[in-house]
Amino acid sequence: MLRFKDFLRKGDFRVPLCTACKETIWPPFETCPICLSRTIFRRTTKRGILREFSTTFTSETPQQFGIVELGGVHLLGSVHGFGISVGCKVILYECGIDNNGYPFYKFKKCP
Amino acid sequence: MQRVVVGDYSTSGFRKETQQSIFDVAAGAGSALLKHEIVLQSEVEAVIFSSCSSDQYTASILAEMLGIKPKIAIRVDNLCNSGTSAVISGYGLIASGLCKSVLIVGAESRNSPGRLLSWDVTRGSFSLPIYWATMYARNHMRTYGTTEEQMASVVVKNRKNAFKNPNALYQKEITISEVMSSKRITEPLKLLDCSSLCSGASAVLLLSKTMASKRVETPIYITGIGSQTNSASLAEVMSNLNNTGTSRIAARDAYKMANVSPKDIDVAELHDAFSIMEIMAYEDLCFVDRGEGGKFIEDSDIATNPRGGILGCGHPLGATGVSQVAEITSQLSGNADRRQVEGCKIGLVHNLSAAGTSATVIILGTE
Repeated sequence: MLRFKDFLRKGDFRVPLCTACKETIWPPFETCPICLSRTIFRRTTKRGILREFSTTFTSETPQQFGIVELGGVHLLGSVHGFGISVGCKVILYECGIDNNGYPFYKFKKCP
Repeated sequence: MQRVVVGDYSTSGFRKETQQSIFDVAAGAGSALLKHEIVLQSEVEAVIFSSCSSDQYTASILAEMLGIKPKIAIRVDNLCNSGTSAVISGYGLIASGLCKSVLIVGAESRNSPGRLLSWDVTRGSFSLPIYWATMYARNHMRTYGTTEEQMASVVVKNRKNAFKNPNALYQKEITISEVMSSKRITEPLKLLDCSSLCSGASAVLLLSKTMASKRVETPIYITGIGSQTNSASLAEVMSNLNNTGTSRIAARDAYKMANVSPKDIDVAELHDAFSIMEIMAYEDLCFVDRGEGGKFIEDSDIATNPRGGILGCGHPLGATGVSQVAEITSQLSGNADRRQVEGCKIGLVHNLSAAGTSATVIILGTE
Protein backbone atom coordinates (compact mmCIF):
# COMPACT_ATOMS: atom_id res chain seq x y z
CA MET A 1 0.00 0.00 0.00
CA LEU A 2 3.01 2.31 0.08
CA ARG A 3 2.62 3.56 -3.48
CA PHE A 4 -1.12 4.15 -2.93
CA LYS A 5 -0.39 6.23 0.15
CA ASP A 6 2.42 8.11 -1.60
CA PHE A 7 0.00 9.21 -4.31
CA LEU A 8 -2.78 9.91 -1.81
CA ARG A 9 -0.49 12.08 0.30
CA LYS A 10 -0.24 14.36 -2.74
CA GLY A 11 -4.04 14.39 -3.11
CA ASP A 12 -3.85 12.00 -6.06
CA PHE A 13 -6.38 9.13 -5.76
CA ARG A 14 -5.14 6.19 -7.81
CA VAL A 15 -6.38 2.63 -8.01
CA PRO A 16 -4.16 -0.34 -8.88
CA LEU A 17 -4.72 -2.25 -12.08
CA CYS A 18 -3.34 -5.68 -12.90
CA THR A 19 -2.02 -5.42 -16.44
CA ALA A 20 -2.16 -9.20 -16.84
CA CYS A 21 -5.74 -9.75 -15.57
CA LYS A 22 -6.98 -6.29 -16.59
CA GLU A 23 -8.71 -6.22 -13.21
CA THR A 24 -8.99 -3.29 -10.81
CA ILE A 25 -7.50 -4.32 -7.48
CA TRP A 26 -9.10 -3.01 -4.28
CA PRO A 27 -7.94 -2.59 -1.55
CA PRO A 28 -4.80 -1.25 -3.18
CA PHE A 29 -2.12 -3.94 -3.30
CA GLU A 30 1.27 -3.91 -4.97
CA THR A 31 0.60 -7.41 -6.26
CA CYS A 32 -2.52 -8.77 -7.96
CA PRO A 33 -4.17 -11.30 -5.60
CA ILE A 34 -5.45 -13.26 -8.61
CA CYS A 35 -2.33 -13.80 -10.77
CA LEU A 36 0.31 -12.32 -8.43
CA SER A 37 1.62 -9.93 -11.09
CA ARG A 38 2.80 -6.48 -10.02
CA THR A 39 0.11 -3.83 -10.32
CA ILE A 40 0.27 -0.36 -11.82
CA PHE A 41 -1.48 2.63 -10.27
CA ARG A 42 -3.71 4.69 -12.52
CA ARG A 43 -6.02 7.61 -12.01
CA THR A 44 -9.69 6.77 -11.95
CA THR A 45 -12.86 8.79 -12.37
CA LYS A 46 -13.66 11.13 -9.52
CA ARG A 47 -17.38 10.73 -10.06
CA GLY A 48 -19.16 8.05 -8.06
CA ILE A 49 -22.50 6.87 -6.71
CA LEU A 50 -23.51 7.17 -3.06
CA ARG A 51 -24.56 3.68 -1.97
CA GLU A 52 -25.34 4.33 1.71
CA PHE A 53 -24.92 7.26 4.05
CA SER A 54 -25.53 8.52 7.56
CA THR A 55 -24.58 11.28 9.96
CA THR A 56 -22.12 11.08 12.84
CA PHE A 57 -22.40 13.26 15.91
CA THR A 58 -19.00 12.43 17.39
CA SER A 59 -17.52 15.84 16.68
CA GLU A 60 -18.92 19.27 17.54
CA THR A 61 -20.48 19.60 14.13
CA PRO A 62 -22.56 16.70 12.74
CA GLN A 63 -20.86 15.19 9.72
CA GLN A 64 -22.35 13.16 6.88
CA PHE A 65 -20.44 10.10 5.73
CA GLY A 66 -21.15 7.21 3.44
CA ILE A 67 -20.12 4.45 1.09
CA VAL A 68 -19.27 5.62 -2.40
CA GLU A 69 -18.80 3.39 -5.42
CA LEU A 70 -16.13 5.04 -7.54
CA GLY A 71 -14.62 3.51 -10.65
CA GLY A 72 -15.55 0.00 -9.54
CA VAL A 73 -14.28 0.30 -5.95
CA HIS A 74 -16.08 1.07 -2.68
CA LEU A 75 -14.76 3.41 -0.04
CA LEU A 76 -15.97 5.20 3.07
CA GLY A 77 -15.70 8.97 3.10
CA SER A 78 -17.30 12.19 4.25
CA VAL A 79 -20.13 13.47 2.07
CA HIS A 80 -20.86 17.18 1.94
CA GLY A 81 -23.91 19.02 0.72
CA PHE A 82 -27.64 19.19 1.35
CA GLY A 83 -30.27 16.80 0.08
CA ILE A 84 -28.08 13.76 -0.53
CA SER A 85 -29.76 10.40 -1.00
CA VAL A 86 -28.81 6.81 -1.78
CA GLY A 87 -28.08 6.58 -5.50
CA CYS A 88 -27.14 10.23 -5.96
CA LYS A 89 -24.03 11.18 -7.91
CA VAL A 90 -21.09 12.51 -5.92
CA ILE A 91 -17.62 13.71 -6.78
CA LEU A 92 -14.33 13.17 -4.92
CA TYR A 93 -13.11 16.73 -4.43
CA GLU A 94 -10.35 16.20 -1.88
CA CYS A 95 -8.32 13.29 -0.53
CA GLY A 96 -5.10 12.79 1.36
CA ILE A 97 -3.56 11.54 4.58
CA ASP A 98 -4.58 13.31 7.80
CA ASN A 99 -2.36 14.24 10.75
CA ASN A 100 -3.09 10.89 12.43
CA GLY A 101 -1.89 8.99 9.38
CA TYR A 102 -5.36 7.97 8.20
CA PRO A 103 -6.45 8.38 4.60
CA PHE A 104 -9.42 10.68 4.04
CA TYR A 105 -11.80 10.98 1.14
CA LYS A 106 -14.14 13.96 0.80
CA PHE A 107 -17.11 13.83 -1.54
CA LYS A 108 -19.79 16.32 -2.44
CA LYS A 109 -23.02 15.99 -4.31
CA CYS A 110 -22.67 16.59 -8.01
CA PRO A 111 -24.48 19.72 -9.12
CA MET B 1 -11.08 -38.89 14.30
CA GLN B 2 -11.33 -38.20 18.02
CA ARG B 3 -14.52 -36.57 19.28
CA VAL B 4 -13.81 -33.37 21.20
CA VAL B 5 -15.35 -32.50 24.57
CA VAL B 6 -15.43 -29.13 26.31
CA GLY B 7 -14.30 -30.55 29.62
CA ASP B 8 -14.21 -27.43 31.78
CA TYR B 9 -14.44 -23.65 31.66
CA SER B 10 -13.81 -20.57 33.75
CA THR B 11 -14.59 -16.92 33.06
CA SER B 12 -13.34 -13.99 35.12
CA GLY B 13 -15.33 -10.87 35.78
CA PHE B 14 -15.31 -8.54 32.77
CA ARG B 15 -14.46 -5.09 34.06
CA LYS B 16 -14.00 -1.62 32.62
CA GLU B 17 -10.51 -1.16 34.00
CA THR B 18 -7.86 -3.35 35.53
CA GLN B 19 -4.50 -2.65 37.09
CA GLN B 20 -3.36 -6.14 36.08
CA SER B 21 -1.21 -6.99 33.09
CA ILE B 22 -2.77 -8.95 30.24
CA PHE B 23 -0.84 -12.00 31.47
CA ASP B 24 -2.19 -11.70 35.02
CA VAL B 25 -5.73 -11.35 33.65
CA ALA B 26 -5.23 -14.44 31.48
CA ALA B 27 -3.55 -16.47 34.20
CA GLY B 28 -6.44 -15.67 36.54
CA ALA B 29 -8.94 -17.48 34.34
CA GLY B 30 -6.47 -20.26 33.50
CA SER B 31 -5.54 -20.98 37.11
CA ALA B 32 -9.20 -20.89 38.22
CA LEU B 33 -9.93 -23.60 35.66
CA LEU B 34 -6.93 -25.72 36.67
CA LYS B 35 -7.98 -25.55 40.33
CA HIS B 36 -11.07 -27.57 39.37
CA GLU B 37 -8.57 -30.45 38.89
CA ILE B 38 -10.19 -31.99 35.83
CA VAL B 39 -6.59 -32.25 34.60
CA LEU B 40 -3.18 -31.77 36.17
CA GLN B 41 -0.89 -29.13 34.71
CA SER B 42 1.38 -31.96 33.55
CA GLU B 43 -1.48 -33.41 31.49
CA VAL B 44 -2.12 -30.26 29.42
CA GLU B 45 -0.51 -30.90 26.05
CA ALA B 46 -1.24 -27.58 24.34
CA VAL B 47 -1.86 -24.00 25.43
CA ILE B 48 -3.58 -21.62 23.02
CA PHE B 49 -3.71 -17.95 23.92
CA SER B 50 -6.31 -15.78 22.21
CA SER B 51 -5.61 -12.07 22.31
CA CYS B 52 -5.05 -8.96 20.20
CA SER B 53 -2.37 -7.77 22.64
CA SER B 54 0.80 -6.33 21.13
CA ASP B 55 2.93 -8.43 23.50
CA GLN B 56 5.18 -11.15 22.13
CA TYR B 57 5.56 -14.86 22.88
CA THR B 58 2.33 -14.69 24.82
CA ALA B 59 1.27 -18.35 24.86
CA SER B 60 4.65 -19.48 26.17
CA ILE B 61 4.59 -16.80 28.86
CA LEU B 62 1.10 -17.89 29.91
CA ALA B 63 2.12 -21.56 29.96
CA GLU B 64 5.08 -20.77 32.20
CA MET B 65 2.89 -18.72 34.55
CA LEU B 66 0.46 -21.65 34.84
CA GLY B 67 3.19 -24.22 35.42
CA ILE B 68 2.49 -26.02 32.16
CA LYS B 69 5.16 -27.41 29.83
CA PRO B 70 3.03 -28.08 26.77
CA LYS B 71 4.04 -29.74 23.53
CA ILE B 72 2.45 -26.84 21.71
CA ALA B 73 2.04 -23.21 22.78
CA ILE B 74 0.53 -20.88 20.20
CA ARG B 75 -1.28 -17.58 20.09
CA VAL B 76 -4.32 -16.84 17.90
CA ASP B 77 -5.08 -13.28 16.86
CA ASN B 78 -8.19 -12.73 14.76
CA LEU B 79 -9.70 -9.54 16.22
CA CYS B 80 -13.17 -10.13 17.73
CA ASN B 81 -13.20 -13.64 16.27
CA SER B 82 -9.96 -14.62 18.07
CA GLY B 83 -11.49 -16.75 20.81
CA THR B 84 -13.65 -18.84 18.52
CA SER B 85 -10.71 -19.24 16.12
CA ALA B 86 -8.65 -20.48 19.08
CA VAL B 87 -11.31 -23.06 19.88
CA ILE B 88 -11.20 -24.28 16.28
CA SER B 89 -7.42 -24.62 16.55
CA GLY B 90 -7.76 -26.61 19.76
CA TYR B 91 -10.42 -28.80 18.21
CA GLY B 92 -8.07 -29.59 15.35
CA LEU B 93 -5.23 -30.58 17.67
CA ILE B 94 -7.44 -33.09 19.48
CA ALA B 95 -9.47 -34.39 16.53
CA SER B 96 -6.24 -35.10 14.65
CA GLY B 97 -4.85 -37.08 17.57
CA LEU B 98 -1.93 -34.71 18.06
CA CYS B 99 -3.06 -33.82 21.60
CA LYS B 100 -5.47 -35.18 24.17
CA SER B 101 -5.93 -32.01 26.22
CA VAL B 102 -5.78 -28.36 25.16
CA LEU B 103 -6.15 -25.33 27.41
CA ILE B 104 -7.50 -22.27 25.61
CA VAL B 105 -7.33 -18.89 27.34
CA GLY B 106 -8.65 -15.67 25.84
CA ALA B 107 -7.76 -12.36 27.44
CA GLU B 108 -7.75 -8.70 26.60
CA SER B 109 -7.23 -5.35 28.23
CA ARG B 110 -9.52 -2.45 27.47
CA ASN B 111 -6.91 -0.48 25.56
CA SER B 112 -6.16 -3.37 23.20
CA PRO B 113 -4.70 -2.43 19.81
CA GLY B 114 -7.39 -4.70 18.33
CA ARG B 115 -9.96 -1.92 18.68
CA LEU B 116 -8.77 -0.32 15.43
CA LEU B 117 -7.80 -1.87 12.09
CA SER B 118 -5.66 1.01 10.88
CA TRP B 119 -4.38 -1.10 7.95
CA ASP B 120 -7.69 -0.77 6.11
CA VAL B 121 -7.45 2.27 3.82
CA THR B 122 -10.91 1.62 2.35
CA ARG B 123 -12.40 3.02 5.57
CA GLY B 124 -10.73 6.37 5.13
CA SER B 125 -10.85 8.39 8.33
CA PHE B 126 -13.94 6.45 9.49
CA SER B 127 -11.84 3.74 11.06
CA LEU B 128 -13.92 2.96 14.15
CA PRO B 129 -16.25 -0.06 14.00
CA ILE B 130 -19.34 2.08 14.67
CA TYR B 131 -19.16 3.46 11.14
CA TRP B 132 -19.56 0.11 9.39
CA ALA B 133 -22.22 -0.90 11.93
CA THR B 134 -24.07 2.30 11.08
CA MET B 135 -23.98 1.44 7.38
CA TYR B 136 -25.47 -1.99 8.14
CA ALA B 137 -28.17 -0.44 10.33
CA ARG B 138 -29.14 2.23 7.82
CA ASN B 139 -29.36 -0.35 5.04
CA HIS B 140 -31.44 -2.74 7.17
CA MET B 141 -33.87 -0.01 8.14
CA ARG B 142 -34.27 1.27 4.59
CA THR B 143 -34.42 -2.12 2.89
CA TYR B 144 -36.40 -4.17 5.43
CA GLY B 145 -38.13 -1.64 7.64
CA THR B 146 -36.22 -2.55 10.78
CA THR B 147 -36.82 0.04 13.51
CA GLU B 148 -34.69 1.71 16.16
CA GLU B 149 -37.05 0.26 18.78
CA GLN B 150 -36.35 -3.28 17.54
CA MET B 151 -32.61 -2.64 17.85
CA ALA B 152 -33.20 -1.23 21.34
CA SER B 153 -35.11 -4.42 22.23
CA VAL B 154 -31.93 -6.42 21.60
CA VAL B 155 -30.04 -4.25 24.09
CA VAL B 156 -32.80 -4.51 26.70
CA LYS B 157 -32.93 -8.32 26.40
CA ASN B 158 -29.17 -8.74 26.64
CA ARG B 159 -28.80 -6.33 29.56
CA LYS B 160 -31.58 -8.24 31.34
CA ASN B 161 -29.67 -11.48 30.80
CA ALA B 162 -26.41 -9.87 31.91
CA PHE B 163 -28.08 -8.89 35.17
CA LYS B 164 -28.12 -12.63 36.01
CA ASN B 165 -24.46 -13.07 35.10
CA PRO B 166 -22.03 -12.04 37.85
CA ASN B 167 -19.16 -11.87 35.35
CA ALA B 168 -20.93 -9.35 33.09
CA LEU B 169 -19.67 -5.79 32.87
CA TYR B 170 -23.19 -4.37 33.16
CA GLN B 171 -25.28 -5.34 36.16
CA LYS B 172 -28.29 -3.13 35.63
CA GLU B 173 -31.43 -3.70 33.61
CA ILE B 174 -32.42 -0.91 31.27
CA THR B 175 -35.56 0.05 29.36
CA ILE B 176 -36.23 0.72 25.71
CA SER B 177 -36.75 4.39 26.46
CA GLU B 178 -33.33 4.55 28.17
CA VAL B 179 -31.72 3.08 25.06
CA MET B 180 -33.65 5.41 22.78
CA SER B 181 -32.74 8.48 24.82
CA SER B 182 -29.05 7.59 25.24
CA LYS B 183 -26.51 9.77 23.47
CA ARG B 184 -26.83 9.62 19.71
CA ILE B 185 -23.48 8.64 18.20
CA THR B 186 -24.59 8.23 14.62
CA GLU B 187 -27.89 8.09 12.81
CA PRO B 188 -29.43 5.65 14.02
CA LEU B 189 -27.01 4.17 16.58
CA LYS B 190 -27.03 5.44 20.13
CA LEU B 191 -24.54 4.88 22.92
CA LEU B 192 -26.45 1.92 24.35
CA ASP B 193 -26.67 0.23 20.93
CA CYS B 194 -22.89 -0.19 21.17
CA SER B 195 -20.87 -2.66 23.23
CA SER B 196 -17.98 -1.51 25.42
CA LEU B 197 -14.41 -2.64 25.19
CA CYS B 198 -13.26 -3.93 28.56
CA SER B 199 -10.74 -6.13 30.34
CA GLY B 200 -11.42 -9.79 31.00
CA ALA B 201 -10.48 -13.39 30.44
CA SER B 202 -12.10 -16.73 29.83
CA ALA B 203 -10.70 -20.24 29.61
CA VAL B 204 -11.97 -23.56 28.27
CA LEU B 205 -10.40 -27.00 28.44
CA LEU B 206 -10.83 -29.25 25.42
CA LEU B 207 -10.34 -32.97 25.91
CA SER B 208 -10.50 -36.03 23.73
CA LYS B 209 -13.61 -38.11 24.40
CA THR B 210 -11.38 -40.85 25.77
CA MET B 211 -9.64 -38.56 28.21
CA ALA B 212 -12.92 -36.95 29.25
CA SER B 213 -14.69 -40.24 29.89
CA LYS B 214 -13.69 -40.71 33.53
CA ARG B 215 -13.23 -37.02 34.40
CA VAL B 216 -16.23 -35.12 33.06
CA GLU B 217 -19.67 -35.87 34.49
CA THR B 218 -21.68 -34.29 31.67
CA PRO B 219 -19.57 -34.20 28.53
CA ILE B 220 -20.51 -31.46 26.07
CA TYR B 221 -19.31 -32.24 22.56
CA ILE B 222 -18.27 -29.91 19.79
CA THR B 223 -20.36 -31.36 16.99
CA GLY B 224 -20.09 -28.79 14.23
CA ILE B 225 -17.69 -26.08 13.09
CA GLY B 226 -17.91 -23.61 10.25
CA SER B 227 -15.58 -20.71 9.64
CA GLN B 228 -15.02 -18.38 6.73
CA THR B 229 -12.74 -15.45 5.97
CA ASN B 230 -13.61 -13.42 2.88
CA SER B 231 -11.36 -10.41 3.37
CA ALA B 232 -9.77 -8.12 5.92
CA SER B 233 -10.82 -4.79 4.41
CA LEU B 234 -14.34 -3.42 4.13
CA ALA B 235 -14.11 -3.38 0.33
CA GLU B 236 -16.26 -6.49 -0.15
CA VAL B 237 -18.57 -5.76 2.79
CA MET B 238 -19.39 -2.33 1.36
CA SER B 239 -20.59 -3.85 -1.89
CA ASN B 240 -23.31 -5.87 -0.10
CA LEU B 241 -24.75 -4.66 3.19
CA ASN B 242 -27.70 -7.06 3.21
CA ASN B 243 -25.90 -9.82 5.10
CA THR B 244 -22.56 -10.92 6.46
CA GLY B 245 -21.75 -13.55 3.86
CA THR B 246 -19.11 -15.17 6.05
CA SER B 247 -21.68 -15.93 8.76
CA ARG B 248 -23.97 -17.59 6.25
CA ILE B 249 -21.18 -19.84 4.98
CA ALA B 250 -19.95 -20.64 8.48
CA ALA B 251 -23.47 -21.50 9.62
CA ARG B 252 -24.15 -23.68 6.59
CA ASP B 253 -20.94 -25.66 7.18
CA ALA B 254 -21.49 -26.00 10.93
CA TYR B 255 -25.09 -27.20 10.53
CA LYS B 256 -23.96 -29.74 7.95
CA MET B 257 -21.11 -31.07 10.10
CA ALA B 258 -23.37 -31.37 13.16
CA ASN B 259 -26.21 -32.77 11.05
CA VAL B 260 -28.69 -30.31 12.54
CA SER B 261 -30.84 -27.52 11.20
CA PRO B 262 -31.48 -24.03 12.61
CA LYS B 263 -34.76 -25.16 14.18
CA ASP B 264 -32.84 -27.70 16.29
CA ILE B 265 -30.93 -24.96 18.13
CA ASP B 266 -32.15 -24.41 21.70
CA VAL B 267 -29.72 -21.76 22.89
CA ALA B 268 -27.28 -19.46 21.09
CA GLU B 269 -24.56 -16.97 21.87
CA LEU B 270 -24.50 -14.46 19.01
CA HIS B 271 -22.13 -11.67 18.05
CA ASP B 272 -23.84 -8.46 19.15
CA ALA B 273 -21.08 -5.87 19.32
CA PHE B 274 -23.80 -3.55 18.00
CA SER B 275 -27.53 -4.21 18.35
CA ILE B 276 -28.02 -4.40 14.58
CA MET B 277 -25.50 -7.24 14.40
CA GLU B 278 -27.68 -9.57 16.49
CA ILE B 279 -30.66 -8.85 14.25
CA MET B 280 -28.55 -9.65 11.19
CA ALA B 281 -27.23 -12.80 12.91
CA TYR B 282 -30.79 -14.16 13.24
CA GLU B 283 -30.99 -13.96 9.46
CA ASP B 284 -27.46 -15.07 8.61
CA LEU B 285 -27.85 -18.16 10.82
CA CYS B 286 -31.20 -18.88 9.09
CA PHE B 287 -33.27 -18.62 12.28
CA VAL B 288 -35.55 -16.41 10.14
CA ASP B 289 -35.78 -15.28 6.54
CA ARG B 290 -33.84 -12.30 5.24
CA GLY B 291 -35.33 -9.06 6.51
CA GLU B 292 -37.29 -10.72 9.35
CA GLY B 293 -34.62 -10.30 12.05
CA GLY B 294 -36.21 -7.23 13.57
CA LYS B 295 -39.43 -9.13 14.26
CA PHE B 296 -37.61 -12.23 15.56
CA ILE B 297 -36.58 -10.36 18.69
CA GLU B 298 -40.27 -10.03 19.53
CA ASP B 299 -41.27 -13.69 19.16
CA SER B 300 -38.07 -15.73 19.28
CA ASP B 301 -38.28 -19.39 20.25
CA ILE B 302 -34.50 -19.67 20.64
CA ALA B 303 -32.84 -18.38 23.82
CA THR B 304 -30.29 -15.88 22.55
CA ASN B 305 -27.31 -14.47 24.43
CA PRO B 306 -28.23 -15.85 27.85
CA ARG B 307 -24.93 -14.65 29.36
CA GLY B 308 -25.82 -11.12 28.24
CA GLY B 309 -24.00 -11.15 24.92
CA ILE B 310 -21.35 -8.62 24.11
CA LEU B 311 -23.76 -5.75 24.78
CA GLY B 312 -24.29 -6.92 28.35
CA CYS B 313 -20.97 -8.57 29.20
CA GLY B 314 -18.60 -6.13 27.51
CA HIS B 315 -16.12 -6.98 24.79
CA PRO B 316 -12.63 -8.08 25.82
CA LEU B 317 -11.84 -9.01 22.21
CA GLY B 318 -9.70 -12.13 22.62
CA ALA B 319 -11.83 -13.45 25.49
CA THR B 320 -15.26 -12.99 23.94
CA GLY B 321 -15.35 -16.12 21.74
CA VAL B 322 -13.97 -18.29 24.54
CA SER B 323 -16.56 -16.99 26.99
CA GLN B 324 -19.32 -17.67 24.45
CA VAL B 325 -18.21 -21.32 24.28
CA ALA B 326 -17.97 -21.43 28.09
CA GLU B 327 -21.53 -20.10 28.38
CA ILE B 328 -23.07 -22.59 25.97
CA THR B 329 -21.20 -25.40 27.71
CA SER B 330 -22.58 -24.28 31.08
CA GLN B 331 -26.08 -24.09 29.61
CA LEU B 332 -25.97 -27.54 28.04
CA SER B 333 -24.52 -29.12 31.17
CA GLY B 334 -27.24 -27.51 33.32
CA ASN B 335 -24.86 -25.37 35.35
CA ALA B 336 -25.90 -21.87 34.30
CA ASP B 337 -27.51 -21.00 37.63
CA ARG B 338 -30.02 -18.13 37.46
CA ARG B 339 -29.77 -17.83 33.69
CA GLN B 340 -30.27 -21.52 32.94
CA VAL B 341 -32.29 -22.22 29.79
CA GLU B 342 -34.40 -25.23 30.70
CA GLY B 343 -34.11 -28.41 28.67
CA CYS B 344 -31.51 -27.20 26.18
CA LYS B 345 -29.60 -29.93 24.35
CA ILE B 346 -28.08 -28.22 21.32
CA GLY B 347 -26.34 -24.86 21.44
CA LEU B 348 -24.67 -22.55 18.95
CA VAL B 349 -21.87 -19.99 19.17
CA HIS B 350 -21.57 -17.28 16.52
CA ASN B 351 -18.75 -14.80 16.38
CA LEU B 352 -17.25 -12.51 13.76
CA SER B 353 -14.55 -9.93 13.11
CA ALA B 354 -14.35 -6.55 11.47
CA ALA B 355 -17.82 -6.10 9.98
CA GLY B 356 -18.14 -9.80 9.29
CA THR B 357 -15.10 -10.08 7.07
CA SER B 358 -14.56 -13.34 8.95
CA ALA B 359 -17.01 -15.39 10.99
CA THR B 360 -17.18 -18.60 12.97
CA VAL B 361 -20.06 -20.83 14.03
CA ILE B 362 -19.57 -23.65 16.55
CA ILE B 363 -22.32 -26.10 17.48
CA LEU B 364 -22.23 -27.98 20.76
CA GLY B 365 -24.42 -30.77 22.02
CA THR B 366 -24.99 -33.22 24.81
CA GLU B 367 -24.63 -36.16 22.43
